[in-house]
Order: sequence, then structure tokens, then C-alpha cells
Amino acid sequence: MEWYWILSLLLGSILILMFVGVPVGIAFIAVNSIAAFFIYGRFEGLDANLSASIGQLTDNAFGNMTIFAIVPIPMFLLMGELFFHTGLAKRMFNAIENLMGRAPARLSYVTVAGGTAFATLSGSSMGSTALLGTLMVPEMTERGYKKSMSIGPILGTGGLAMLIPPSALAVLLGTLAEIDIGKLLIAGVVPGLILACMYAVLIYLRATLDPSVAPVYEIKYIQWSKRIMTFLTDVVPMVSVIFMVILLIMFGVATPSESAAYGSLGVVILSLIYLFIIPLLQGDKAKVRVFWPTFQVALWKSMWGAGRVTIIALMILFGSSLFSNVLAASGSSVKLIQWVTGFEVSGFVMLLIMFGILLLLGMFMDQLAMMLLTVPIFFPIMAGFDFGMGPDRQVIWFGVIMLLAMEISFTTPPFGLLLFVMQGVCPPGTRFSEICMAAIPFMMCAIFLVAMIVIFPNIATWLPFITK
Amino acid sequence: MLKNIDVFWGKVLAVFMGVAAVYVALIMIAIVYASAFRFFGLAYNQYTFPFIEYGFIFILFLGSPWLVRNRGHVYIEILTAALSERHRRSLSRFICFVSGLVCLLWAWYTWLLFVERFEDTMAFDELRAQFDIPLWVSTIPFPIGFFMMAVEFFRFTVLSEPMHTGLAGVASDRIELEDTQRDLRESN
Repeated sequence: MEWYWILSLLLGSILILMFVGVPVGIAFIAVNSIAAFFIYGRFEGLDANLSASIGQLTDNAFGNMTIFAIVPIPMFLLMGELFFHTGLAKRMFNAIENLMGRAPARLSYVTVAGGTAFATLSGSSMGSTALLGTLMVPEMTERGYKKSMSIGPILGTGGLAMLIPPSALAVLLGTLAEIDIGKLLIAGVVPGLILACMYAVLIYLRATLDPSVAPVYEIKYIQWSKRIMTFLTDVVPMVSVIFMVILLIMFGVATPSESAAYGSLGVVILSLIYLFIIPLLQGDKAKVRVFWPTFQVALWKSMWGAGRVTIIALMILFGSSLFSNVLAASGSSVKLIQWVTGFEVSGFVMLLIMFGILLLLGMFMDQLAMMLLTVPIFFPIMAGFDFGMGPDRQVIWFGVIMLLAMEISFTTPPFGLLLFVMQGVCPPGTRFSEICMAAIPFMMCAIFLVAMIVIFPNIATWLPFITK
Repeated sequence: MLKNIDVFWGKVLAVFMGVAAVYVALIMIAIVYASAFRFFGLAYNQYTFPFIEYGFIFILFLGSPWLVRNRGHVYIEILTAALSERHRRSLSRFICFVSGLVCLLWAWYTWLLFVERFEDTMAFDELRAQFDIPLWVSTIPFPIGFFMMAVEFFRFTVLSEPMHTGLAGVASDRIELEDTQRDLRESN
């Protein structure tokens, strides 16, 4: 059978199974098992061929999954869960709100700042959107904020989780694409911060041009000295953990796996300080008394939450290893690359096509499933093009663009998944069209950033390559 | 009687999931231990790294059945959300039946592989040759995990409420959303 028939059958069957509702991991296992049966099955009888193909796939999956490089996935997830369940994330969020003072559209800025921090800590777009949607939208609506100023920033910052380290998704992408995970994590820092700044500028412009979208209201005045104190006690320690993780990776002091583990340990130590040592020093006996039961519950919930999402990611990795293996063994991936690079299209046109495909897939697919389906095909194809920055930088650059594309697709109307999440947490009466309209300006910011990264690749590649 | 068995089985799966969750924390401790000892020039147990690496396969197959039971795996509800109640239930049961068959097939053939390797006393993990880890250790999670997942998929074919709820979106994200909202309610 020709390679294009094999590839079409593989992709087509997987897409159909996913569309009808078969769990993504099972869809990959089923289709790849059948494909492997024909590829590896060269024996007499059905039983022997099934045994050979499943045996081969089992060994390949085991080899691809038992690698030290994927350690940051559970560690970053554990770190985020610990931040959330020990109450440190909420503490930081409240501190940011106090710091904003009486600025016009203050709650929108709070959402961007808190959302960026929370999305970064939790590493989960869905969790971040749900949290901010539940906490902020009702209050902003009550204060007279238009939907575009309340829902839009939340949808925008929810996607930053994929970009700013510690991002479990960036680690997964790095693992699937077999690229330097540390560099990919660091590469997300500058684009992530630029995007957060672009959101802030957008809010400022809208609030200035039309003050009715975010009415100014009186709040209790907090002295500057108290604000600085709050910043030092409730923001700096939490952000320091993130910086520690980033700097350890950047300067090669620790591998991404080690720095992720130390990040988790850092959060445990911080929560011990906030929940036990400080109340103890302050003589707050009530808090000291409830420390251990509270801490136990927080630890257990964090482990459970991190374990749950790790298993989802591992199942995707399992499916992916089967898919890559079958693609390689059938010869389809090599032939596809030869075919694509044989066309007289520039790398930028190819990039645009891939970007479009990712946007399309993100309308109905989870980001894990998107990675699983596209990484084994997109990365080898991109390696065949020369963008004039060297293969090491190019692969990191493309990884960042891919993360951004997935982030954008998450909020692309009418099927972007974050839109559905937002609808689930918004106050009753919020129309879906309002959510879509609120998402568009923030989505445009992200698209503009992608264009900037394509034109000026250094935005993504400068930071990871300034150190060894 | 059947209900009691189901409740007991659910608890068994939850215990396995709990072990997987604790394993995640143990990985953190293992890395901190190994890197700290290395930093101070002290000798650390060499089995730390196989413990971490093998952990991923054990975490996956210990926790996956619980995730199937709790509708936690990633699956897309576009078609099922658009169907009528009756058709959604029928389609969901069919999907679970097929998924169960796939898992059962894998459980059977990986079990045969495990038995073959268990009987072969000379089969070791060649990638970690210095540790002399029998090859069956790498294979045992597959049949157990796939069998338990098969049971869970088949269970959905007879339950009154099928796996697919008909709410648009991705199932695992919805679970995450519900968890977050519950935590928020509790913390308030």
C-alpha cells in the first residue's frame, strides 16, 4: 500500500474515533494496534501476529515512557496543585488586588496580573479560567464592568499557562518533539511576558477611550507602606519559587527535572512557613492547632490532583509513542517529509498552513490530543526547512509558535474550549456570543505576537541561548 | 450483592489511584534526595533512577482504571452532545464496549508476554543493564492496567448513566472544572 493511503487511513481513523467520542488514548491504541498488526505481523496465524505486534508496541511504549526527561510534568503539576490547595495562590491573588489601588479598570488589571501568576503556577488553562471566572466575573459585573472587560482578560491569561514556565504542556511538547525541554521552557518567558503586557495595554486603551466599559469606583484606601509590605510578604516569596525554577534551568545549575522537584519542595516549605511557622511566632494558637489537618488535606489533594493529570498526560504519551512508532515503521513519516519538502513552497507558507491546522484542531480538540496528532508530523517537516537561524534555535522557535497557536485555538470562536469553560462559570444570563466577542481582541493580541515572533525570532530564542 | 461488589471494586481502584498519587510525591522526594546527595559528594542509592523511570509506567496503569471509572480520560463530546438522549446512550455504550474490547485484547497479549518473560530467568532490562532488573517487572503493569480498564469500560455498558454525559467539550477538562469549583466552595 502507498504511504499516503497508510497515512490517510491512520489519521482519518483516529480523527473519526475521536470525533465520535472514543477516549483519545484508546483511539490511538486501537488504530495503531491494527496498523502494527500489518506492519509487524509476518507470521502464520492471527494469534502469532497479534502477539508480535502488541509485544513490539509494548516494548516501544515502555522505552519511550520510562525516561527521566518527563519528570517535570508531574513535578510542575504537583507544584501548581500545592500552590492552589495550600491557599498560597489565593493569598497572592488578594495581595495583587490590594496593590492595584484605585486605577481605572483595576479589576481587569488584577485579572491579568493574578491570572498570569495563577496560570503560571497552576499550569492549567482550564483551572485558571474556572478560578478567575468564578471569582472575578460576578464582582466585575456588579461593579458595572462590561463583559468585554471582565471575560476577555480571563480568557487571555488562561492561555498564558501554556507559555510561561513552569508549564507542564511545554514539557510534554518538548518530550514528544524530542527537543531540549529546558530551552523550550525558558523560551516561553519573554513571549509570555510580552503577551501579558499587551493585554495590559489593551485594557488601558479601552478604559481610556471609553471609560464606561470599566467604571471607576471608591475603594478603601490602603497606605503605600502597607501595600509594599503586602507585596513583600504575599507576592515576592511565591514568585521567587518560579524564578528559582527558571534560573536553575537557565544557568544549567539543575536539569528541568531537578529544578521542577525543587520547585515543588519550595512550595511545601513556603506553605509550612505561612500555615505553621508564622502563626506560631504570632502566637495564633487556633491556626497552629488546625495546621496539621489542613496541611494533610492540602498535601493529599495536591498529590491526587497532580497524579490525575499526570495519568492523563502519560496516557497521551503512551498513544503518541505508538503513533510515532507506527509512522516510522510504515515509512509514512519519511515519505511525507520528502513529499512536502519537494514542493516549491517557502518555510513561511508551511508555517502558516500548520498554524491554520492547529487553529482548526483546537476548535474541537484538547491541547494534549492536538500535540499527539501533530507533533510527530509537524516537527520533522519543519526540520526540512531552513529559516536561517540554525536547527537548534529553529526547533525551539517553532515549539513556542506551536504553544501559542494552541493557546489561540483555545479561545477561537465558536468552539474554543476555554469559551465553554467560561460559559460554565459565568453568572447566569451571560450569552455565548458575549463570551466570543470578549475573547476576540485578546486573541488578536496573541496572533500579533505570533507574527512578531515569526518576523523577529529572537523574541523566543534570545533568552534560552544566552546561557549554555 | 452486585452493588456491594461494585462498591468494593471502586475502592480497590481508588486505592490503586492513591498509590499512583503517592508515587508522584515519592518521585519528588527521590529527585531531591539524589541531587542533594550528589551535590554534597555523598553516595546515594543507584536504584533511585530506575525507581523514578519505572514509576511512570506504574503510575499510568495503576491510576488509569480509576480515571476511566470517573470519566477522567480525555474524550471529546461533540457528536454525543448533539445526539438525542436515546442515541447518545446507545452510542456511548457501543464506544465503551469497543474500548473494553481493545483493552481486553491488550490485557491478554501483554499477559502472555509477561508470562513468557517471567519464565525466562535470563531476561533483563537491557537499557538498565547495570541494575539487573528482570524484564517482567517492566511488563506486569500492562496486563493489570488494561484488564482493570476493560472491566471499567464494560461496566459503563450496563450502567444506567453511560460514560458520555452529552455536555459539550472535553470530559477531563469538565472534571477539572468541577473539582476547581468544589474546592473554591469549600475554601469559602
